[in-house]
Amino acid sequence: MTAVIEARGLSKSYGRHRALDAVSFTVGAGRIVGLIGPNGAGKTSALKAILGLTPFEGELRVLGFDPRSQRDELMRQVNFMADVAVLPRWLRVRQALDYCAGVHPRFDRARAADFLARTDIAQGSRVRELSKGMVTQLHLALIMAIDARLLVLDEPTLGLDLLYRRKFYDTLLNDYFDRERTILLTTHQVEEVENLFTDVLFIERGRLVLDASVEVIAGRYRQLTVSAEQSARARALQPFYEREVFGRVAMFFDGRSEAELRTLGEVRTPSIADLFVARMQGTLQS
Amino acid sequence: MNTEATAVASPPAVSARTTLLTLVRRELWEHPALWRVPLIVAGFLAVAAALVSTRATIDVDAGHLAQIGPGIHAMVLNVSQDAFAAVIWLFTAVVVSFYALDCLYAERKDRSILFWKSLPVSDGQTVLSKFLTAMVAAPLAAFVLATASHLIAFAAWWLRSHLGGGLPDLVGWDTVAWLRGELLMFLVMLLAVLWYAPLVAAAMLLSVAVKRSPVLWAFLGPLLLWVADLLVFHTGWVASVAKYRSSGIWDALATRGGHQIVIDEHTYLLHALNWGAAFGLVDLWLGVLAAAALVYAAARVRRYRDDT
Repeated sequence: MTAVIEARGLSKSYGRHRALDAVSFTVGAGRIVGLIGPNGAGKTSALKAILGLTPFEGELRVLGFDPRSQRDELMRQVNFMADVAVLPRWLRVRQALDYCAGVHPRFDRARAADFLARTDIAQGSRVRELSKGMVTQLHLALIMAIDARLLVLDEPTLGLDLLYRRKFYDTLLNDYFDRERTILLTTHQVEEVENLFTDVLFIERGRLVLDASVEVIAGRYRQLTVSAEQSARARALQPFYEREVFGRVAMFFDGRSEAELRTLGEVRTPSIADLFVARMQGTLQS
Repeated sequence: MNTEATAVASPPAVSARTTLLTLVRRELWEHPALWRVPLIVAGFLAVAAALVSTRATIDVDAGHLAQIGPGIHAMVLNVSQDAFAAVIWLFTAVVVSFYALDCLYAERKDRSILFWKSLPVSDGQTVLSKFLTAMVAAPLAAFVLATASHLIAFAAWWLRSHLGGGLPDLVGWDTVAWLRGELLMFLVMLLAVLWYAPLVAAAMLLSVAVKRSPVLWAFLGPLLLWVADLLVFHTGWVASVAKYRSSGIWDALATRGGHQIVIDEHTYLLHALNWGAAFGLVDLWLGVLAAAALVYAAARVRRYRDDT
């Protein structure tokens, strides 16, 4: 597998605040990676570093380019979508297509127009005349028409209703992702997209607390739900996090086998959302 | 995620010319005042002048009427050319000033900079396109509009003069005089663009650098400097620099041998003005260099300007 993003000791400070603290990770080609963390954890700083939008310390190569010195070459192969509010409100849909066609060597105008034809968006409309969901569809149409190697999405569905969110990710998965492209995604709505991920990066206070593929997570993490009576025995196996659920206790283990836990209660692989909460709370408690 | 590093061949870029034209088009979409205001003013001038020509009556006594000839025709043609251009350029200059102060601030204010920066356009290309919009596209549009509106108005006058009566034979077409007038206007426009380029570039740097209200900064900053100089330092330097940067080039153009050039009806302005002194003014070219440095600085600031 080839590396699309390779970060070594990536650090970023805003004054005395350390937004990223010597973070190292690698993202391979053809992966859908969730960069997940609470507000202020350093997600956007990491994305901005990857996109060459902010200075940073450490080593970072994206598609083999240094985002600091080779941003222009890099952006020919990278797509980026921040939340829906970044399309200028004065822009007409037709102008957005004209603009992308005029500056991007890999933009396929016909493909974008074809995608838009399946929506209610008229090419003469201005962005300010569109609903939030339609603006996202427009942005998605532009992204779908760019043949990029890496797509970076920063909270792309923020503020959208469930139907638009679902449609957005369905389109992304069915019409865009081809197992060669790489998608790096940050979102707070982890539950809705966790089935998309092939890998997750959990970030907290500027540090990576988990860097694993979903296969590794399935093999390594266990969620054990036990009755209150069994909880003391289960606790002896040192869960890294536990919480009460309807009178029972859900415990999260790292590295315990299913056979080891099965005698105590119900065992399953935790969802990424549950694991995220567990790791964040566990991190905070430790 | 076990991986190995790789470098990916970059696809070819869109040609620089196509990119630049697209970027300038984008500026005209975003700031339609750049073409709408001169267009409205030019339209108003042409229509107003044409309407006036249908009603106005100029009485010229027989003695003076006999003196009207090609010289007077050329003068009327050139003076009206200059007047149309002056009005349209004045409005264009005001619009360009506000454009320069807004063009790199607006994209930060509405966060659309994240969209523009998601595409393969460098900060240098973006800033250069904005500078060229202000310094080439807008002046050229004003020049074309001034020429067009004057021709429309002049055609109306000519028709009234030759067909309708009311206007004596003051209006006569003179192709050479017209071309001379156009050349004069073009050279004046070129001088203006070169002379005021550092001011436009400085406005753009302000636009990209300040947190908010670049227009306020642009007016308050020099005003505070002037007041401080007036009340504390007493050098008069701020006022003299402001006066020189606003009119220095025109003083050079209108002076020969230390004396103000005097124009009469036998002198063509194009021939009389001191073009050599104006285009040879060292400060003109130092200003152009300063403008280039300021544009470069604006691009550098935009590169890592991060308040999204």
